[in-house]
Amino acid sequence: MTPAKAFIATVLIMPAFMATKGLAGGNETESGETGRAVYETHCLVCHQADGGGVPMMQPELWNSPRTNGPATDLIRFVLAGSAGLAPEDRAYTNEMPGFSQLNDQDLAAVLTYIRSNFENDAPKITPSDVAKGRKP
Amino acid sequence: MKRTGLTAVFASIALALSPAGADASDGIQDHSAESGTVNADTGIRVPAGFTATVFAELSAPVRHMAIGEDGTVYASFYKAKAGEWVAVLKDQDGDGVSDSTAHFGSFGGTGIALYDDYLYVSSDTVIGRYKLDGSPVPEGEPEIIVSGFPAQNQHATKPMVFDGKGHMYVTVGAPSNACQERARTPGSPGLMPCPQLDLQAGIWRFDAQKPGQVHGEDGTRYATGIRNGLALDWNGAADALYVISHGRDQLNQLFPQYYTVEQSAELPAEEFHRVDEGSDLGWPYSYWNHIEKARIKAPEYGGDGTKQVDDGSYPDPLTAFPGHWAPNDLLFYSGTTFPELFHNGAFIAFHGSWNRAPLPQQGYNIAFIPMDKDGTVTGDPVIFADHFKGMDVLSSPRAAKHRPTGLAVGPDGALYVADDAAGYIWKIRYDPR
Repeated sequence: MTPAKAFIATVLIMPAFMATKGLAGGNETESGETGRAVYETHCLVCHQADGGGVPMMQPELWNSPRTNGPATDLIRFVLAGSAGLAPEDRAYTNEMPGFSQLNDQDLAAVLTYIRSNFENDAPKITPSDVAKGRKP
Repeated sequence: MKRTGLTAVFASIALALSPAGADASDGIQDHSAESGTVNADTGIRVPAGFTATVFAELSAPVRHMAIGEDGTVYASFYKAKAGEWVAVLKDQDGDGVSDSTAHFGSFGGTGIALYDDYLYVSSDTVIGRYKLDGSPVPEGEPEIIVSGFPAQNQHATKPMVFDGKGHMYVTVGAPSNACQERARTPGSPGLMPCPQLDLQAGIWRFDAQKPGQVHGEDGTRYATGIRNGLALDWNGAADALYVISHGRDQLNQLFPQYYTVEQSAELPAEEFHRVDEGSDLGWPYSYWNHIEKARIKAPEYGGDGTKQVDDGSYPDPLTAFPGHWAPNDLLFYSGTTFPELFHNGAFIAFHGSWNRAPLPQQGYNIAFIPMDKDGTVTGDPVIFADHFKGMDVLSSPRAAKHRPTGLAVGPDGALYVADDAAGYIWKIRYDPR
């Protein structure tokens, strides 16, 4: 078992630690499952199982203007990370790395996942949206 | 093994109980659970014989505290409340609850201390002081003692302590997790040498009184290799500086080929050290594995999770706590009203973890390390006060009711604990009646 699979298996056998609002709904599509898996591998340790983040350190994804805002802004932010934020825009101390190493499908899936969970309700993001976001 | 009462406090430390006990929290024996119960009014649990009161509810992120000889409590805020950064609290009628609250101050963050009739306060980049001219609430603008600390986001607060011999010691935290070429990026190697050690990731010594000092020009680097020594204190009995630092994050996420999720939750240790001039505690090149009792080479610097640094470059900790508990304050007990066991020992406020996800979070408690007057650790650390998180199993830090972040001892020997989640301050007295 690879470490990544071990990670996912560990998460899946520990439903007690998963906040219910962090779980996808009943009719999980393949993309939804991918989105959750990508979230659990790359996002959960900082933004937490319930999307609540960590006070003062990492932002919550609930009711987040960035999460629910224009798709292009969100895509570019996640590709580049938080290092480019102006000091006055930094309400949280930790730096988020960029995730440009993820492919378009995985990024689209995870961004759609966060936009349709944690009580968010924003339009989904497609792989072609991500591909466009990669262009300067 | 079931014990009740204060005898348990003495006996279990003396016996160094096994870490697998029923009242253990992540391997550390929990005295508060062994002999105390959660108090509905205060929300916390202290050992039998001790009584807690909610001294203040400030609805502000209270961080560190300083207490004057008349019992006035000064508490600093992480962020200003209505434009002011410091609370001044006094319990006039002696019922354990503050009945007088004032706010003042044009800057702040975490660090606050009383020294030579001045109140010292720090922001992330400046340390200033206010003269206390008879009035408990200072007036006027602060005198700047040290400026020029680098602006940084991570580990930015500047706690300070004094040695009583004219020096002030200031923690300057590392502006990163592990000094990687690319911050918090999987597989990214560490910068060699880590340039952050030049002006950060250590403890600097300044003149306690001289105005206008500038970091990098004045003062000396007293100790290095300390990622974030937010919890530091001068041990007056042993006449030495001690620190317990925040260990690094994300071993599994950054190096999944070497670390499981479970190892990443537990490692590295939060290390408790005596810090003498010239000490190097090993960040970012190494960390302490408290399970193997070994110093391990960091994966950013060629480590694989097992390679040791055994050339004596860095000292072993005096004792250690499980990973990510986040020590936010350290206090040597200088009072006399707690039982003798506590005299000269160290209390630690653990803010509580986030980096254990998806496993349950840990910490969120007050621990105690028994020590003698020479500053030697004399027993295993224990949990002194607990249940700050408000539930038995916590998944997400945001759900924690309280997060301990500051400690101080009053002139009557009581222990004060500050919380930056709900803004509580508790007063804990020893009252065996």
